[in-house]
Amino acid sequence: MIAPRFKVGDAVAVARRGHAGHHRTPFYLKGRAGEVAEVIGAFRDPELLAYHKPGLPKRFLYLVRFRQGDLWKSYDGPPNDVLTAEIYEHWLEPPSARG
Amino acid sequence: MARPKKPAVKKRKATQPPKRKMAPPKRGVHDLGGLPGGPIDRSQHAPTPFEERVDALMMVLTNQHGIYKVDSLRRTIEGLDKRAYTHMAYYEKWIYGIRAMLVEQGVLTDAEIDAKIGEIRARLARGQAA
Repeated sequence: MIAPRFKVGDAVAVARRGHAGHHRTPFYLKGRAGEVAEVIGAFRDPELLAYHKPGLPKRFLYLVRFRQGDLWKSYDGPPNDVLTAEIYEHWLEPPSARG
Repeated sequence: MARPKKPAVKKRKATQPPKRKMAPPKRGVHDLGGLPGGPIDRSQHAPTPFEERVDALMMVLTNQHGIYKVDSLRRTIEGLDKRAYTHMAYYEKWIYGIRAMLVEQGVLTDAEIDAKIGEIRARLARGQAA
Protein backbone atom coordinates (compact mmCIF):
# COMPACT_ATOMS: atom_id res chain seq x y z
CA MET A 1 0.00 0.00 0.00
CA ILE A 2 1.36 3.39 -0.97
CA ALA A 3 1.45 6.21 1.57
CA PRO A 4 -0.84 9.23 1.50
CA ARG A 5 0.66 12.33 -0.11
CA PHE A 6 -0.72 14.74 2.50
CA LYS A 7 -0.97 14.63 6.28
CA VAL A 8 -3.29 16.26 8.80
CA GLY A 9 -2.70 20.00 8.92
CA ASP A 10 -1.19 20.26 5.42
CA ALA A 11 -2.35 23.23 3.37
CA VAL A 12 -3.92 22.03 0.14
CA ALA A 13 -5.91 23.42 -2.78
CA VAL A 14 -8.57 21.65 -4.78
CA ALA A 15 -7.56 21.31 -8.43
CA ARG A 16 -9.34 23.77 -10.67
CA ARG A 17 -10.06 21.48 -13.59
CA GLY A 18 -13.00 20.09 -15.48
CA HIS A 19 -13.88 16.42 -15.66
CA ALA A 20 -16.44 15.19 -18.15
CA GLY A 21 -17.48 12.01 -16.34
CA HIS A 22 -18.65 11.05 -12.88
CA HIS A 23 -16.54 12.54 -10.11
CA ARG A 24 -17.09 13.54 -6.54
CA THR A 25 -15.44 16.91 -6.35
CA PRO A 26 -18.11 19.63 -6.10
CA PHE A 27 -17.86 22.63 -8.38
CA TYR A 28 -17.98 25.13 -5.55
CA LEU A 29 -14.74 23.76 -4.06
CA LYS A 30 -12.66 23.64 -7.23
CA GLY A 31 -9.73 26.02 -6.94
CA ARG A 32 -10.36 26.64 -3.23
CA ALA A 33 -7.70 26.41 -0.53
CA GLY A 34 -8.10 24.50 2.70
CA GLU A 35 -6.25 22.19 5.03
CA VAL A 36 -6.31 18.47 5.65
CA ALA A 37 -8.47 17.66 8.67
CA GLU A 38 -8.29 13.87 8.41
CA VAL A 39 -6.77 11.16 6.23
CA ILE A 40 -9.81 8.89 5.94
CA GLY A 41 -8.24 6.00 4.07
CA ALA A 42 -7.75 4.51 0.60
CA PHE A 43 -10.77 3.51 -1.46
CA ARG A 44 -11.54 2.23 -4.93
CA ASP A 45 -11.81 5.13 -7.36
CA PRO A 46 -15.47 6.10 -7.91
CA GLU A 47 -14.53 7.76 -11.21
CA LEU A 48 -13.73 4.27 -12.52
CA LEU A 49 -16.31 2.26 -10.52
CA ALA A 50 -19.01 4.36 -12.19
CA TYR A 51 -18.03 2.75 -15.52
CA HIS A 52 -17.85 -0.83 -14.21
CA LYS A 53 -14.06 -0.77 -13.84
CA PRO A 54 -12.41 -2.31 -10.76
CA GLY A 55 -11.51 1.17 -9.52
CA LEU A 56 -7.83 0.50 -9.02
CA PRO A 57 -5.43 1.84 -7.97
CA LYS A 58 -7.15 2.88 -4.79
CA ARG A 59 -7.14 6.60 -4.04
CA PHE A 60 -6.63 8.24 -0.69
CA LEU A 61 -9.66 10.15 0.56
CA TYR A 62 -9.23 13.18 2.81
CA LEU A 63 -11.50 15.26 4.93
CA VAL A 64 -10.53 18.81 3.94
CA ARG A 65 -11.44 21.84 6.03
CA PHE A 66 -12.29 25.15 4.35
CA ARG A 67 -13.02 28.50 5.95
CA GLN A 68 -16.59 29.49 5.12
CA GLY A 69 -15.41 33.05 4.55
CA ASP A 70 -13.05 31.76 1.84
CA LEU A 71 -15.90 30.00 0.01
CA TRP A 72 -18.69 32.56 -0.03
CA LYS A 73 -18.13 36.20 -0.95
CA SER A 74 -20.97 37.50 1.19
CA TYR A 75 -20.44 35.17 4.16
CA ASP A 76 -21.27 37.14 7.31
CA GLY A 77 -20.99 34.41 9.96
CA PRO A 78 -18.20 34.12 12.54
CA PRO A 79 -14.73 34.11 10.92
CA ASN A 80 -13.85 30.71 12.43
CA ASP A 81 -16.80 28.94 10.75
CA VAL A 82 -15.58 26.01 8.66
CA LEU A 83 -16.92 23.54 6.12
CA THR A 84 -15.45 20.07 5.69
CA ALA A 85 -15.72 17.94 2.57
CA GLU A 86 -14.36 14.58 1.43
CA ILE A 87 -11.92 15.04 -1.45
CA TYR A 88 -9.87 12.36 -3.21
CA GLU A 89 -6.12 12.81 -3.37
CA HIS A 90 -5.88 13.24 -7.14
CA TRP A 91 -8.03 16.36 -6.78
CA LEU A 92 -5.68 17.94 -4.24
CA GLU A 93 -2.52 19.95 -4.86
CA PRO A 94 -0.03 21.80 -2.70
CA PRO A 95 -1.36 25.38 -2.52
CA SER A 96 1.64 26.78 -4.46
CA ALA A 97 0.60 24.71 -7.49
CA ARG A 98 -2.69 26.57 -7.87
CA GLY A 99 -3.35 27.68 -11.40
CA MET B 1 -46.11 -0.69 -28.75
CA ALA B 2 -43.16 0.86 -30.51
CA ARG B 3 -42.15 4.35 -29.56
CA PRO B 4 -41.93 6.92 -32.33
CA LYS B 5 -38.30 7.09 -33.29
CA LYS B 6 -36.58 10.29 -32.35
CA PRO B 7 -34.84 12.15 -35.17
CA ALA B 8 -31.19 11.29 -35.29
CA VAL B 9 -29.12 13.83 -33.42
CA LYS B 10 -25.83 14.65 -35.03
CA LYS B 11 -23.05 13.86 -32.64
CA ARG B 12 -21.30 17.04 -31.73
CA LYS B 13 -18.19 15.51 -30.31
CA ALA B 14 -16.47 14.91 -33.62
CA THR B 15 -16.76 18.56 -34.63
CA GLN B 16 -15.37 19.88 -31.38
CA PRO B 17 -11.70 20.51 -30.81
CA PRO B 18 -9.91 17.84 -28.82
CA LYS B 19 -10.17 18.30 -25.10
CA ARG B 20 -7.51 20.38 -23.48
CA LYS B 21 -5.66 18.52 -20.82
CA MET B 22 -6.73 20.99 -18.14
CA ALA B 23 -10.22 21.95 -19.25
CA PRO B 24 -11.82 24.61 -17.05
CA PRO B 25 -14.35 23.26 -14.59
CA LYS B 26 -17.96 23.14 -15.68
CA ARG B 27 -20.86 22.71 -13.32
CA GLY B 28 -22.79 19.48 -13.92
CA VAL B 29 -26.57 19.52 -13.92
CA HIS B 30 -26.59 17.78 -10.54
CA ASP B 31 -23.83 19.87 -8.97
CA LEU B 32 -25.92 22.47 -7.18
CA GLY B 33 -23.80 23.24 -4.12
CA GLY B 34 -23.62 26.97 -3.42
CA LEU B 35 -26.36 28.00 -5.86
CA PRO B 36 -29.34 29.92 -4.54
CA GLY B 37 -32.03 27.30 -4.06
CA GLY B 38 -34.87 29.14 -2.40
CA PRO B 39 -36.79 27.72 0.54
CA ILE B 40 -36.63 23.95 1.15
CA ASP B 41 -39.86 22.00 0.85
CA ARG B 42 -39.80 19.91 4.03
CA SER B 43 -43.18 18.30 3.57
CA GLN B 44 -43.24 14.50 3.79
CA HIS B 45 -45.44 11.80 2.35
CA ALA B 46 -45.87 8.08 2.94
CA PRO B 47 -43.93 6.10 0.32
CA THR B 48 -46.12 5.23 -2.65
CA PRO B 49 -46.19 1.64 -4.01
CA PHE B 50 -44.15 2.88 -6.99
CA GLU B 51 -41.46 4.35 -4.74
CA GLU B 52 -41.28 1.18 -2.63
CA ARG B 53 -41.00 -1.01 -5.71
CA VAL B 54 -38.22 1.09 -7.20
CA ASP B 55 -36.35 1.02 -3.89
CA ALA B 56 -36.74 -2.76 -3.63
CA LEU B 57 -35.63 -3.26 -7.23
CA MET B 58 -32.53 -1.17 -6.61
CA MET B 59 -31.64 -3.17 -3.49
CA VAL B 60 -32.00 -6.49 -5.34
CA LEU B 61 -29.95 -5.31 -8.31
CA THR B 62 -27.25 -3.86 -6.07
CA ASN B 63 -26.92 -6.42 -3.31
CA GLN B 64 -27.89 -9.71 -4.94
CA HIS B 65 -26.93 -9.25 -8.55
CA GLY B 66 -24.20 -6.62 -8.46
CA ILE B 67 -25.71 -4.97 -11.55
CA TYR B 68 -25.41 -1.65 -9.87
CA LYS B 69 -22.92 0.33 -7.90
CA VAL B 70 -23.85 3.59 -6.29
CA ASP B 71 -21.30 5.29 -8.56
CA SER B 72 -22.88 3.99 -11.75
CA LEU B 73 -26.32 5.01 -10.51
CA ARG B 74 -24.99 8.50 -9.90
CA ARG B 75 -23.35 8.52 -13.33
CA THR B 76 -26.55 7.66 -15.17
CA ILE B 77 -28.54 10.28 -13.26
CA GLU B 78 -25.86 12.93 -13.77
CA GLY B 79 -26.16 12.23 -17.50
CA LEU B 80 -29.75 13.48 -17.60
CA ASP B 81 -30.31 16.73 -19.45
CA LYS B 82 -31.16 19.76 -17.36
CA ARG B 83 -34.88 19.69 -18.08
CA ALA B 84 -35.24 16.02 -17.19
CA TYR B 85 -33.05 16.39 -14.11
CA THR B 86 -35.11 19.32 -12.84
CA HIS B 87 -38.51 17.78 -13.46
CA MET B 88 -38.05 14.12 -12.54
CA ALA B 89 -38.89 13.06 -9.00
CA TYR B 90 -36.29 11.26 -6.90
CA TYR B 91 -37.48 7.72 -7.65
CA GLU B 92 -38.19 8.59 -11.28
CA LYS B 93 -34.48 9.32 -11.58
CA TRP B 94 -33.75 5.96 -9.97
CA ILE B 95 -35.96 3.98 -12.33
CA TYR B 96 -34.43 5.86 -15.25
CA GLY B 97 -30.99 4.89 -13.95
CA ILE B 98 -32.06 1.26 -13.38
CA ARG B 99 -33.31 1.01 -16.94
CA ALA B 100 -30.14 2.54 -18.36
CA MET B 101 -28.00 0.13 -16.32
CA LEU B 102 -29.99 -3.00 -17.24
CA VAL B 103 -29.64 -2.15 -20.93
CA GLU B 104 -25.98 -1.16 -20.61
CA GLN B 105 -25.17 -4.41 -18.78
CA GLY B 106 -27.00 -6.51 -21.35
CA VAL B 107 -29.61 -7.83 -18.89
CA LEU B 108 -32.55 -6.49 -20.92
CA THR B 109 -32.88 -4.67 -24.21
CA ASP B 110 -34.80 -1.45 -24.80
CA ALA B 111 -37.12 -3.42 -27.10
CA GLU B 112 -37.91 -5.94 -24.35
CA ILE B 113 -38.61 -3.20 -21.80
CA ASP B 114 -40.77 -1.22 -24.25
CA ALA B 115 -42.71 -4.36 -25.19
CA LYS B 116 -43.43 -5.10 -21.52
CA ILE B 117 -44.47 -1.51 -20.83
CA GLY B 118 -46.82 -1.69 -23.81
CA GLU B 119 -48.26 -4.96 -22.57
CA ILE B 120 -48.96 -3.56 -19.09
CA ARG B 121 -50.40 -0.32 -20.46
CA ALA B 122 -52.78 -2.30 -22.64
CA ARG B 123 -53.82 -4.43 -19.68
CA LEU B 124 -54.45 -1.37 -17.53
CA ALA B 125 -56.42 0.24 -20.36
CA ARG B 126 -58.68 -2.81 -20.38
CA GLY B 127 -59.36 -2.11 -16.72
CA GLN B 128 -57.63 -5.14 -15.27
CA ALA B 129 -55.40 -5.08 -12.27
CA ALA B 130 -51.67 -5.00 -12.97
